[in-house]
Amino acid sequence: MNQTIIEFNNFKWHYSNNRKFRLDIQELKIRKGSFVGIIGPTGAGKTTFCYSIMGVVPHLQNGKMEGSVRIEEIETKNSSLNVLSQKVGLVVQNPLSQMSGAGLNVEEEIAFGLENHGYSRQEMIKKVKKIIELIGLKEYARRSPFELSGGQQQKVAIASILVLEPEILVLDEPTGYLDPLSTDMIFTLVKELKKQGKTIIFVSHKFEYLNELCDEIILINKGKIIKKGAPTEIFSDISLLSKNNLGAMDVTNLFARLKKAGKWKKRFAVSVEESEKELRSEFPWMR
Amino acid sequence: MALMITSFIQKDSFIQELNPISKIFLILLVITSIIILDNLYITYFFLINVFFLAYLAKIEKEFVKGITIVMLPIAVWFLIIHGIVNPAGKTILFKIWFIPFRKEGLLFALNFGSKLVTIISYFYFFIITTYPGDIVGSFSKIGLPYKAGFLINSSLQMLPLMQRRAEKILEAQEARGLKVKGKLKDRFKAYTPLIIPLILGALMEAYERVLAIEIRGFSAKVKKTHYREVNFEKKDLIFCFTYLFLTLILIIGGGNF
Ligand SMILES: Nc1ncnc2c1ncn2[C@@H]1O[C@H](COP(=O)(O)OP(=O)(O)O)[C@@H](O)[C@H]1O
Ligand SMILES: [Mg+2]
Repeated sequence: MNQTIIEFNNFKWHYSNNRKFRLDIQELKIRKGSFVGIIGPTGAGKTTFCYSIMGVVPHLQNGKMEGSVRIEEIETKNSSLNVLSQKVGLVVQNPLSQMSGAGLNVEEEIAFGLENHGYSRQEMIKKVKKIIELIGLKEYARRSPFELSGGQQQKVAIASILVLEPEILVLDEPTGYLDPLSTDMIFTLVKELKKQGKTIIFVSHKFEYLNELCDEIILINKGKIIKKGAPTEIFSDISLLSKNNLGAMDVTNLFARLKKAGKWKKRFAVSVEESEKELRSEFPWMR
Repeated sequence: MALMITSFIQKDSFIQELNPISKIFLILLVITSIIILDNLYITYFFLINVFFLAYLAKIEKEFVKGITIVMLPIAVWFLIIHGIVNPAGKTILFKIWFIPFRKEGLLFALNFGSKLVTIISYFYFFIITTYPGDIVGSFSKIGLPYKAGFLINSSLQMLPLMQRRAEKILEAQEARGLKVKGKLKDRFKAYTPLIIPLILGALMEAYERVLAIEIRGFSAKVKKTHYREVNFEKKDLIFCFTYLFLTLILIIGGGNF
């Protein structure tokens, strides 16, 4: 599969009340079914990038846009959020703010998007049931979403988006408010969704997870794509990361230290497994 | 832990299963007959009736608690103010210390206050016995705007959230050594730093929530459907007609009680 599903062309955006920042993406193509990690320091423009795919930029934000973003055959600026909501889904950081409050329990919360799009009751019941099983929310289906933990709420938010069957799922730091266990739960879930063919755009600072799951990493800073490449390539490049105010992973830093001490000349490892292998082959006494 | 006095209480009775429109119909009946008839007995009839309905809805405890917290201070205030300063007051009924309380003022307070308490009790009854999700469905069924129903529904749900948020901020501030208990002045001081984070937090979240509902098609220009079924059933018909009938009898018999 080599089909392009998201395409930026000469895209420029700035918020009308912010002269300093401009998101500027000359050309970008994202393949259907790929898992793309987005990294960059705070204020880099990651959220704005997500908004541009979803159509929140330009439809729900004030500012000026040039160029185009296409989702398959749809050009976002000529479309509407309602149409786009069945192509792209966006999950954000704060789980609580994503609960519409439209229903008193999880089932009804999930059905909200379907109600908005006028699905018949029978269809809704079927779709909601399917999603609840897929996401693993069965035991919470009748509970109030406001009573759940942050991790569970985030799952409800993902379910509420997925019920509209978008092909693209954009997640903007969805584990930012979550504890390690819930974080793991979310990444495991998204990994499963990728297997089912969804295109995933995932903004996160959790490099360990991105390294494991992504086909490609895009590094954004000051509104521009600084570099796009394979996870190992980006995460092993400590100087690239630090130039962009990002800290490398602990394992990678270990190799940088070894290099400084004159004990390492090869590429830096980016995962525990990889470093074990590399170290054992380099230092015979470790075998 | 503050009292959650603003939200729907889930109980199993036919009152909770009534169509919200039936209860709104009752509220309208009560308001019109109380205002038109200006009769204290009818007001009391409806006041007792709402407690009876709360009992049928199996929420009498919470109802009495909520009503007392909200209404008692207002009622006492009314009696004091009108008992003392209402210009209609002539006959002195009794004195507390040297302050005279006059009969006409007290009667006015009793009359007006009872009406106010009765009407507010019905609204309160509506809020705690009506599943907010049903309001949206029932509204659009009779042609009222979907967004109006959604607004009522979500604000009813957000009130307890605001309460919870206030508690959290208070807890955090208490943990940092702010006095929340104690003299009235201290308490007042304690609540001031609560206001800004409360409002800012709520605004931020409201903004984010707009985004969240818009990307789920909130403004889609199609006819909305409803996951929950809200029908106008036989019990609604019986409920509405019973109260219409009762009210008519009261109106006809109006002046004669
Ligand atoms: N609604 C907005 N109005 C004006 N400026 C904004 C708005 N949202 C974000 N910005 C600014 O745009 C820049 C990029 O923000 P954002 O896309 O949120 O970055 P990131 O998600 O990488 O932290 C920041 O300087 C931020 O202050
Ligand atoms: Mg962001």
